[in-house]
Amino acid sequence: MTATLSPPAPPTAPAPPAGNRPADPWHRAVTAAVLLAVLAAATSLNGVLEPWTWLLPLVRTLVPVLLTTSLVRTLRPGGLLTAVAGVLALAGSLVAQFLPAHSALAVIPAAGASAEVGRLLAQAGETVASEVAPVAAEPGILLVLCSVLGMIALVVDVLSTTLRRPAVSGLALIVVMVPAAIVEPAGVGIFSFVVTVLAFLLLLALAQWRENRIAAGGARASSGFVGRSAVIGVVAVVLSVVVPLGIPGFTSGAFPQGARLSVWGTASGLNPAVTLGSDLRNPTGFGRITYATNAQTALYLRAVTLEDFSGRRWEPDQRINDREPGVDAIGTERGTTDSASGPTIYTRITTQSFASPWLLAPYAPEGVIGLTGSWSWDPANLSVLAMDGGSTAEEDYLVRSRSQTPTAEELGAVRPSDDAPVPGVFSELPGDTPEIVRTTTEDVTGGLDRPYEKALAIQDYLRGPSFTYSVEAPVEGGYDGSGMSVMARFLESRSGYCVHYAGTMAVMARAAGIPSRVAVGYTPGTPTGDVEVGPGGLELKEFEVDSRNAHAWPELYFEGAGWVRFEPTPSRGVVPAYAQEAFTPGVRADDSDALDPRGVRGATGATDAATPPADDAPGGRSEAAGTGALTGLLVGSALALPVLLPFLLRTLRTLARRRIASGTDTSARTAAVAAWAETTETAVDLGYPLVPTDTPRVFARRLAGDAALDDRSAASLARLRTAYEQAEYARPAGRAGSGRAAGVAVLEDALPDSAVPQAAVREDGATQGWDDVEVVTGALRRSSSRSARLRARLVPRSLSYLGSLGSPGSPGSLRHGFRVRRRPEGGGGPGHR
Amino acid sequence: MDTRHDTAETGEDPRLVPPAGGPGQERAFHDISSRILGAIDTVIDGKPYAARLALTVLLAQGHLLLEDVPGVGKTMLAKTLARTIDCTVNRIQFTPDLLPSDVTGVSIFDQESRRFEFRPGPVFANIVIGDEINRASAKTQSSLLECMEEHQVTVDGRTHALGEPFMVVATQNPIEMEGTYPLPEAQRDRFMARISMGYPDAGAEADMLESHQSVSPLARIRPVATVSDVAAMMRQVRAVHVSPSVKHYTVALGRATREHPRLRLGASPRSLLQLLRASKASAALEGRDFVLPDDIAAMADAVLAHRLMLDRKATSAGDTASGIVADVVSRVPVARETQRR
Repeated sequence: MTATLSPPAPPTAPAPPAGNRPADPWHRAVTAAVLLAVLAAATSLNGVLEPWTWLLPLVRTLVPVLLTTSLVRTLRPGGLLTAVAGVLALAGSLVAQFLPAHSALAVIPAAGASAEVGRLLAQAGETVASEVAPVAAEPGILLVLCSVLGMIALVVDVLSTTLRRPAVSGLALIVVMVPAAIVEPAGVGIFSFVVTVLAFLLLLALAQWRENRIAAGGARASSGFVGRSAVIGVVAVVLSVVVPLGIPGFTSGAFPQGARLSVWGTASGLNPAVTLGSDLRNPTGFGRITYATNAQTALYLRAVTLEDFSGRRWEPDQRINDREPGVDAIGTERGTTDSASGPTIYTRITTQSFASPWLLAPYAPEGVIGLTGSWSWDPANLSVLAMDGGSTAEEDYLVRSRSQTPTAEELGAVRPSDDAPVPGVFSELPGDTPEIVRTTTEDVTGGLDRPYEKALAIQDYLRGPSFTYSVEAPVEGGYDGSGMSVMARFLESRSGYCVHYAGTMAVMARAAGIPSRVAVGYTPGTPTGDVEVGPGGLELKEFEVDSRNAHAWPELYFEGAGWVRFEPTPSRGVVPAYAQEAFTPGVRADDSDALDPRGVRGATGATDAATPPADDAPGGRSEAAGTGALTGLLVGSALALPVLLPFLLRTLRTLARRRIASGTDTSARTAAVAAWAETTETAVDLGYPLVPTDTPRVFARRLAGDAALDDRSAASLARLRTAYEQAEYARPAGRAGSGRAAGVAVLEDALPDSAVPQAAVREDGATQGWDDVEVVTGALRRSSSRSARLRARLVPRSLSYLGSLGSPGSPGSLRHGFRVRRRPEGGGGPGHR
Repeated sequence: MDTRHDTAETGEDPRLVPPAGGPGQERAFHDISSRILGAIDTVIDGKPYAARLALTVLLAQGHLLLEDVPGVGKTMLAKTLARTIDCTVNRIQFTPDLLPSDVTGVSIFDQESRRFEFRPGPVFANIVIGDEINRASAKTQSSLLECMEEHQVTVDGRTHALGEPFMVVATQNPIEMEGTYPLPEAQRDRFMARISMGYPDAGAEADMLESHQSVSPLARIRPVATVSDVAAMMRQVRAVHVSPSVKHYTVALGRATREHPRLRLGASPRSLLQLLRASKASAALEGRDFVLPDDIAAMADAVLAHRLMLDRKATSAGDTASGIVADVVSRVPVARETQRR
């Protein structure tokens, strides 16, 4: 006989633990908001990278990561797995984007990948060290950017979606904006700031919406919070944008407009011209450098020169192939035959934290000893550059240099020449040189013949009263930094700082037929009073300079005399004796000639009567010192805003409740609920537990015990509790039986052990209710430690969503106290004893 | 189920009937209840909870099951409660040979009038004390339980209504005692509440030895309330407001017992109704005209525990129904109607 073998009935799967986790398909919306928020914050990078070039790679990175976490989350494997999956997705998308040639299956790194990553990172490092914002979006930079932002997006996503703490994720978003705040002269733009804040608020709103949906077990939840969020958001944005405008002296801007953190010390090798601008704007000096020298005249420390005036920005030309390795002995500039004219100067320089690939040295260096690493010098301009990625940080070296002391007579004897023995790059003006440069040069130098006369005329013109020194004007005018068009703008607005003066003089000199370049470095600084003994028993006086001494000056070439420094910037630096107009009344050349840096400022004031004294002249300078502190304060406040957001939201909630509870038009019921909510939330903020299974009575009893409330506060608490019970559980007013209040009052009076005072029950109990709230919350605060109070202010637990993740007994699960319960399966779930 | 009560309640819908009047009546409620409790306290030392619960059940128009080992004052409590009220009280000592007619009454042929005359049994009283109900046969037990449910007695096709108020206070020795017929589950469900008296504490026990030495303090008890007082109080109890959130909370408790892994049988809908009624009485005794979740939680053990059936594992693990009720109460979140504002 045949028997049909039926497969054994599959064992009935045990019912999934009900109520363990409520169904939650709404996390996708939160994750989408995370994507938006990170992209919004990334708009701040528009000034750091070439605009929008970052967008596509970033989208390609973020979308797979967030898509992965979202999908994984659907399977509900737990937070850690989600995060791990996100990291893997991030790695995969980075490999697919940046290492396609070194990958297997497009996303798995294969042989050679690590070397390629190293190459890309080195490229990124080089870009950071040598380029100026906005930099081109090269693969190296993009790799760094996408990795960092991918991780940030992951962190924001985990915080907002898995941990359900979206408010904290604002900090991660701030991180995205920090580079822009540091690098860009104008800081994070208002657009970017507003967009980021709005996206963050959207994230918060969606997270709240999700909480509501979860709490309601899927039912359509109240959407009133959207309106509230919108109001809070608009208020926050308007405040943060408008308040700075209303504060006097707040011209350099705070977070939305140019917070200059400058935490990276002095110029790290970004475009010297631009970083000079920000260095000069920084009221507190940083990047301190000391040098000791036997020079008797003011000593300028030169790092680099700019000679190629084409291009949107002027950048130092490394001329790697032309450089001569080894700096023990440095020759003269190629092609020039000019003999050293001055005494030999020894300068010992200690760079400390100043990091730049360009070596600081007085012009013209003849040799450097004491350096570590390999260095090279450029025969074109005698700049000294570190090879193999070295930098000047923590170097202590001795420079031998020739002092430049041509006399005015020597320079004046130089005849104009069409065939200067210097490379053409020092004489060329780009084709797009603005007309104003040529016309101005014509006006200034018209009728003059000798190059020296022309140079003096140009310097005199720029130092004249029609130009004002300002480190702020270029920022406001949008011509911060260098470039031919910037110089044209400077000639129009006649306000700028050393880069503009020096650049303009160099350009005008070329227009007048004099080879020129812009040197970038430091003015002499201030003496420290220390003296050390140098080679050959020379007495070296020590000086110190910092970012405030950052400077740019033009060097002009005179055949036979070599490269000669001029000083067109009023109130900065020292005008060399040979560059002072002998025919200017009231100025004696020998006065300045003997200047040592100690006398720089006074002497400068005397040099040009039209120029106000140094301390006052740079408009923004003295003011900057004053506004500096204010700026710092406001920058701090702006940075603190996200940190303080929980505090602000909590305070707003308190204020709203007080309005409700004290209002005359609100019913006693509404007032009682608001007063009780405030009391319980304050208790929760201070760390007193509130459990979902607590009845108001149980909670109040435990609170009075835990906080050891005195009689008065305990009575207030009892009043609040009674009023709340009345509001929550009694027959609503207006229905039959509302007249019971008096009856209950009598009853409770009669109860021998009743400690229930009646004030809160009376109709006029509304204001009384808020007084009670203040009594109770005051007592709770007094009984809490200082740290608990601080935590309650800054990280109020009642705003937290995390409570819903914890056990029912965990503190902070406040939402249960006020909303629909979690589904009652909780009582039947596993874990019963 | 329970149609009679339903109609009674609809008839006195709190929205239609003024809730037991003004302050005077409220005060009367409190005065009377505290007088009753005070009187009981003079007899039953150190058992204010049991006394209060007994009064609660009386005012909630339920029946009370007192369960404990012999000699802890079960009968004394029942008698004292009955004495404090000026009403008819009957006591039935249940024995294995007691017949249903011994409880309900019988129709006897009257020689003179030549007709059957109904002679009411001891169940015709306002308060019926059924002593050691588990000693009676199942048949007799069920006859009493029918009366409890229906508030009427049907003998020989004629229905006789019982008086109001009507309350059965049954005492029962724990079932492991010899010679008892444990009450079937269905019948335990008819008791609104069960209390275990428990032994008095040392001080109360010493007081008891002192006061009960010469003359029974029961003899000194004088009624402190009339039947109409009690009826008025019952009306007030029925008018106590139960907010929707409290109803939800009650339902959640009930569902939690049904889904509890250690229970074979959870709380029935009838038991939840009784829980709500008991809570209303409890609230009224506290001077409130609305029920708090605290009332529900406080009454849950007395009202629910004796109806629950533990599964084998729970029994062998030493779990008790009371423990499980406490567990459920500690797990079900308290519902609130108002949203956060």
